[in-house]
Amino acid sequence: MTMSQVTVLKLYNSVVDDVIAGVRDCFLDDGVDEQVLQELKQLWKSKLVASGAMDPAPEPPMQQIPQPPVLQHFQKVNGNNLLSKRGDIGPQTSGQSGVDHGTPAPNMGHPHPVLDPNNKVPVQLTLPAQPSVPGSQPRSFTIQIPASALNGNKLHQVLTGPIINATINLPQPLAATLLQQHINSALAGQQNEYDGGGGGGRSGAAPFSLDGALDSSDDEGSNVGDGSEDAAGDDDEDEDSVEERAEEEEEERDEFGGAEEEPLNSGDDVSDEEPGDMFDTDNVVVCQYDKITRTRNKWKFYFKDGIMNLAGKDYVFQKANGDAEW
Amino acid sequence: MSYQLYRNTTIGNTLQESLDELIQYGQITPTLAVKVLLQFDKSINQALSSRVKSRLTFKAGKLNTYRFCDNVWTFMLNDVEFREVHEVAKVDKVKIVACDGKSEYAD
Repeated sequence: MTMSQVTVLKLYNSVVDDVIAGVRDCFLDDGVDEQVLQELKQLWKSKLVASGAMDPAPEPPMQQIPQPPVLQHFQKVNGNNLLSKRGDIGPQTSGQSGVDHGTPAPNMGHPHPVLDPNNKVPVQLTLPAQPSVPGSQPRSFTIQIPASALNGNKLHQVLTGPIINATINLPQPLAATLLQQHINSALAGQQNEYDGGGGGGRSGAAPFSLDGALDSSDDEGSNVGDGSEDAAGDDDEDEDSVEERAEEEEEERDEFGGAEEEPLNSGDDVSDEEPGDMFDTDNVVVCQYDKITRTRNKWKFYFKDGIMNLAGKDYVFQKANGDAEW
Repeated sequence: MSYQLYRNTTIGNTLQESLDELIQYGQITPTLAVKVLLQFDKSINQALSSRVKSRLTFKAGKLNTYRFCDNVWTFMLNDVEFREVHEVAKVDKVKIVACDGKSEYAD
């Protein structure tokens, strides 16, 4: 239905222009700068393009580059793209870094196991542009991570959604620092598991690992003494605690009772249809009806002025007539 | 007064998201955003009725559910084939929400 898709693009552009022109006075009356109005137009148009609901434009497209939703960018950052970018500055291709273990990795997507696990490898990260911020660009910066962390998807475990979300709004230097710290501390924990803090050269990257281990053993030693004192204290408490215990048990029973009364969940709704079936449909038509007729179980529909979203693509129609049996 | 139902489309939703962002950044007030949405209702209703010329037919394997409430029809259709001249789009499920085209509110 290419006809209606071409129409969609033109129609949407004209509606955007029409709305922007129509509210200009409202913006002026509110003392809102013209710049904000242009920003609204820009935001709206780029979101429209990003929705993918319109086919690639047959005429010279708008300035904005099609932008997949931010969520997909996050997945890419967490996914293989992250590592494949390593070649940009990584030892394999540049050959100029101080890393001398050098068999080139045959496949950039999969880090080569020959890498010395204690060597630091520069990794380029790219934070996606924020569609919400006009003029925002994808930002790349380089962080240092131990080569061993490239094996076994360590980075993927460390660079999770929350940390990306937390850094995406920060200025670039701050974001780089934060990510570097996050990775250092997270990897410090993970690496101790299989290479018992062997690399003195790595201590800079893993400031918490060695000290942490020693400190905790000290603490345990003193805890033993604390524990025995506690035990003595417990004996005293036991005598007057029978009543308290009874109360506690009662509270526990109350909690159980509460749990039994609780289940007023959506799962209790009695419905012939799965609620999801009813309302979570990808394909939606929004329109007006001229006439709806029914003869026995045969229905006829006369619709007009419709916008359809079918399989993610938008179509528009002036008239759409159809029939169905119930 | 124009129908607001087109707000729940790609072009309507993206407008609302954009307005939400501007409100969050403190660049516009919610009141101004409402004015923009009302203008959108006017523009989209007018554009659909005057600028769109395509005509479709469709045939559904089954009318699964229908509902008529407050003068709004909602249909769930299964196995639907939309046809525009020689071009065809098939979907296994579609939801149609339709307001009264003859309503006095729709001008």
